[in-house]
Amino acid sequence: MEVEKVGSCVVIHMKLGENRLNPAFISAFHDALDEAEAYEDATSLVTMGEGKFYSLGLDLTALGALSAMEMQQFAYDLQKLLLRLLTFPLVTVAAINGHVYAAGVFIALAHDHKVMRSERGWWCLNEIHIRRNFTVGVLEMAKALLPQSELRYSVVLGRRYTGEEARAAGIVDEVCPLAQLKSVAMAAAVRLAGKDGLDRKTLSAIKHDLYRDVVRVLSEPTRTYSLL
Amino acid sequence: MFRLSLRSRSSLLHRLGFCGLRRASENVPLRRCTVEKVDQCVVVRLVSENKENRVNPEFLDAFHKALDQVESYEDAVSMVTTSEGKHFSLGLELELLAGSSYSEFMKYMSDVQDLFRRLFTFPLVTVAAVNGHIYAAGALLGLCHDHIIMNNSKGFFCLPEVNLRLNFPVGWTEILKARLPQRELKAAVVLGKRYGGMEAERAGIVDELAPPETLREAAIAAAGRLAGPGLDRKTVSALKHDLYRDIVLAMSEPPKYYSHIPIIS
Repeated sequence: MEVEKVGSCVVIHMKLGENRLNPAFISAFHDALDEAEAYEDATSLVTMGEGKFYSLGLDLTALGALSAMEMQQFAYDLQKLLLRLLTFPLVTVAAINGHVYAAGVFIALAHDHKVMRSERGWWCLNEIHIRRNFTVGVLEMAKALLPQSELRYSVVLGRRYTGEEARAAGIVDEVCPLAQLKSVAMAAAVRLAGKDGLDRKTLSAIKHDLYRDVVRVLSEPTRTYSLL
Repeated sequence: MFRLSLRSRSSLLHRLGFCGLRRASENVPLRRCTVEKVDQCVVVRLVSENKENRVNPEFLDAFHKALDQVESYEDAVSMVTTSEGKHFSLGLELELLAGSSYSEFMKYMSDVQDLFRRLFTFPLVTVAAVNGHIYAAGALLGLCHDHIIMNNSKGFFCLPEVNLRLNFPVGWTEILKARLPQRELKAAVVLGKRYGGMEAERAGIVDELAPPETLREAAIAAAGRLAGPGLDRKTVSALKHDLYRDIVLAMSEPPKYYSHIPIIS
């Protein structure tokens, strides 16, 4: 992962191909977030993938090689990463440069503002197509952060959205061509953070409290409501 | 409280007339219930004798039997439910409410809740093709489906409970809050606003419109769009059970009201 500082905005470039979620990815992400927070004059964060992918979700191959204990630890670590992003003390903008699938969607959802590229790339919670259920933590995230009218289409029926469709459905906030994505995302980040930025402690506390129920379930051991 | 006097019973029925609904006669048998398979979609058409499709014991029984038949088709991935003529469903059989004892009332509402719960968690994609008026419990029935496609010229979507001096049981408002846009709740749920098809679609209450002549085909097409051919029933069921967890729990509890309105006038 590459961390780039542009004025008061820190840009994290996720450069691990499909940016699939595994222990190494989570560890690298935390390091990048630490670096971002360490800049005392940073007021906002942009995360962006590279090439065709923002994030395709869980690295099922790598996770298949883990022991049961390691898998349980990973699941909990993923929740902790989502929790950290959701309550991050900087304004956060996801610059969705390409495909964002399954667990990758929740990385994006944890941001304050989402910009997605137009013309190419899909947003999809494809769990239904691969016969998987959502854990309680991310399901509650979906219910809190997705438009209510889209829940049954996106969460249950695995509907696939282009950038424009996602914008129309209220799933992402802005859409633009790839060439402008980084600058549009940074402009949004700067605009939302304001001239002097927002007080970190207050920002984090308000996020914590607004999403209290989500924070609670993300802090608990991973489980599903229904077994599949 | 549930045994009404003769005076209040006729008053209740008068209110039915006031709202422009025909007087419901006694528990009428289902004139026709057809279950028709179209590729991987199954079309269920329920039509009562008086065409009002009141959600009464006969209707519930026929619906459950139809759902059993739908589930028995192993390669089916979606279901369309529809009716014929002026009405999709006008809701509860108010005569049954007016003339029932407490335990009869509880049994009736409990059975209705069972159907709602079964529909909400149905292991196939569900599409309601609304051919006409969709009122009260009939509207709730429609909202139990994944997708509502309404005809664009005939019939209204309406929750007229306030005009009938009826409250919603606990849990039914959970369904309304989960499935209606928040900004419509006051108008639709509290004030009993009547929406024509086009207005309902604009308001986000129904999801799609179609001309009445092609409603059935449009519903089947919508079902095909929403349901991949390899849809796994266990997964669909688990996902719906979890997304609608609060509704499932509410529908599993005995019927009750937060605020009770005596139906006695």
